[in-house]
Amino acid sequence: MTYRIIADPCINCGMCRLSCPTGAIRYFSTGKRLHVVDEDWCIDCDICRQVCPVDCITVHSDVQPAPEQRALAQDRAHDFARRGREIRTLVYEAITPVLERRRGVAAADSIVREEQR
Amino acid sequence: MGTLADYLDTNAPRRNPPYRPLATIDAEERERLQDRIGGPDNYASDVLQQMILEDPEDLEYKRALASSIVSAEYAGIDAFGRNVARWEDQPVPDGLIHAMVRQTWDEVRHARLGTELLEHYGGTLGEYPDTLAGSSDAATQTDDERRAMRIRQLNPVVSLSSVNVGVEGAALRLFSGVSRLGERVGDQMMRHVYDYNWADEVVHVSIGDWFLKKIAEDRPETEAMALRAQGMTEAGRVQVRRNVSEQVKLEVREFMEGETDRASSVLVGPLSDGYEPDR
Repeated sequence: MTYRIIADPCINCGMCRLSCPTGAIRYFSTGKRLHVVDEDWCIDCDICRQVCPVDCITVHSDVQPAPEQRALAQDRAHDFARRGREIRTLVYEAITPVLERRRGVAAADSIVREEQR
Repeated sequence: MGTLADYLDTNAPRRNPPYRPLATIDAEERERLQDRIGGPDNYASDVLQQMILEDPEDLEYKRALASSIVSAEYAGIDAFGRNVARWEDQPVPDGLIHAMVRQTWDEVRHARLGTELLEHYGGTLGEYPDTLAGSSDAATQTDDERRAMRIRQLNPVVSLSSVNVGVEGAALRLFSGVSRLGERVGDQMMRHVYDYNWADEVVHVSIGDWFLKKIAEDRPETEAMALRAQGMTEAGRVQVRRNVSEQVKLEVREFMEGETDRASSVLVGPLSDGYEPDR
């Protein structure tokens, strides 16, 4: 199975390309203002179809990439997901002190308000 | 008497107080950001979204996020409104001028929605810095910024490709993400406001893409110029965007390196490896 982008209704917004976990959607390397799915790297995750704002991505069951190629593509997707988790963890670690400080201030404020009542 | 575009250019907009791009705020304002959201580095939509997710009841994070988005909407009104006047002297279809008028009106609507959302969270306009460094405010622009902005605004192909398709394409991700965030944290107002904006952005990208297809039809050089403009816009963004796949970053980087080679080759002749520019 693979996904294809219908060129006519495609508005080239890049949502599919920037969301694809395996980088299977080409744009600049086509040399034209044209988004194309590289079938070899597609892992049928369906993300591109879900994020497309104009529903111009269709599913084709007639294409079956070689199993070895599919395994490589899945490794890429795992790397992408792992990196995403690492980034979220880094952001979380950076913002935790702020969240805690502000929660502490809010809690103290509510105690003062309670006492004033 | 010159054109309206010339007249507007000699009367550059001046805000009072002027735009305050995040990159140029003073120490006092940095300290204020430190106190409110943990510092200037956190005044970024992905970080603020995560803060809201962790602490949906704290309105400070929502005020910061709404402020960062609405300041760009106000800059958009000015930029797209000027395109209407500037492009009257350019060889573009009349329909494109009308489309720019509609787009300007959309930005007005977004600014109104964003301002009221900010007030709904207890905030006021201007309490946080502006997010667009390249505002059209002559007082805060560097010479390079002014030159780059003038090229972008005067050339409809560059403007449509870099702003309508490149920047507004990225805004699609921002608005759909923030709208989804509103749904997750039970903030229906946030969900609705950014869903409206998202729908308009789809139209803005469509306008850019449609006119680029029309203008570049049977003109490979124009199409290449459009791709290059979008490549430059994306090159800066994908390098800092955290959740873009390495393959996408690589594709944009390789494209831009190729474009740089092509440009140098045109200027100084073929490179030593025999590379010929694709003219």
